[in-house]
Amino acid sequence: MTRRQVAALVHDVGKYVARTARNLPPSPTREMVDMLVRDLYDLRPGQHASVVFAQLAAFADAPPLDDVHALFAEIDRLEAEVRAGAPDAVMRAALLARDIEARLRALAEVA
Amino acid sequence: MKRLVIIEDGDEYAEFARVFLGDLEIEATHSAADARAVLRERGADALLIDLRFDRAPADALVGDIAATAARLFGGDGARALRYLQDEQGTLILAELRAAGFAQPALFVHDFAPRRLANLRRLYGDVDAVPALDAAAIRRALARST
Repeated sequence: MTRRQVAALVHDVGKYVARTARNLPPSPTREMVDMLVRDLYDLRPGQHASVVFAQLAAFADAPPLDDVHALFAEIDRLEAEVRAGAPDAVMRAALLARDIEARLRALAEVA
Repeated sequence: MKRLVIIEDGDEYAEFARVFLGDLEIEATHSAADARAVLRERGADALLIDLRFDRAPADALVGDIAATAARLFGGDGARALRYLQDEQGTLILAELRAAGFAQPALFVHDFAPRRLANLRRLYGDVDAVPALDAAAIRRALARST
């Protein structure tokens, strides 16, 4: 795993997947929820963040990435509810996204 | 109202700023040339600059691929292009500073302390926050503007 590959994970996935998640107030507006939906399910045109992550992480099978895959899987399972703006699902997805960002940043620190 | 000029290769920073930094006047630009024109015409209180520009067309990047390849990468143009993309934010800042624009510049990036110190030595008022965190960005802008 090169430093550039890790940087791509942190920059292209970590930073943007948590863009809305880390700033959400307790009662987010519809505009904020729509932004969260784009971060999680349309990170690149037509691509879920989980897919972008899987593509960028394909080079590595370091154990910490298994955890991140699992977090993304849970985010994907919440998609319909998040898109519908269900408050509990929105907050859970945001929590997961922040966790992903933190894990990717920790990975960059040791790379 | 303070005016923040954003320089990025996509729309993510600007979209974020319009939603979470709504008390600032935001203007988005997508290249050094674009930013220079906006700063010349309308000025700014601060700059928010993306670091990696991997979606920008090669001919919009600051830096010459062939010259960079010859100087740093033994003629390898692909590596030179990646380098210019990865460092584009700082290259844009260098160009803006050379053109006389001294506004505080903020990056959203985890720079190592030594790297940030070097950027400050080269380009003056430069700061960085590790994430797109509205509160942290506000604090950084308040320190510098």
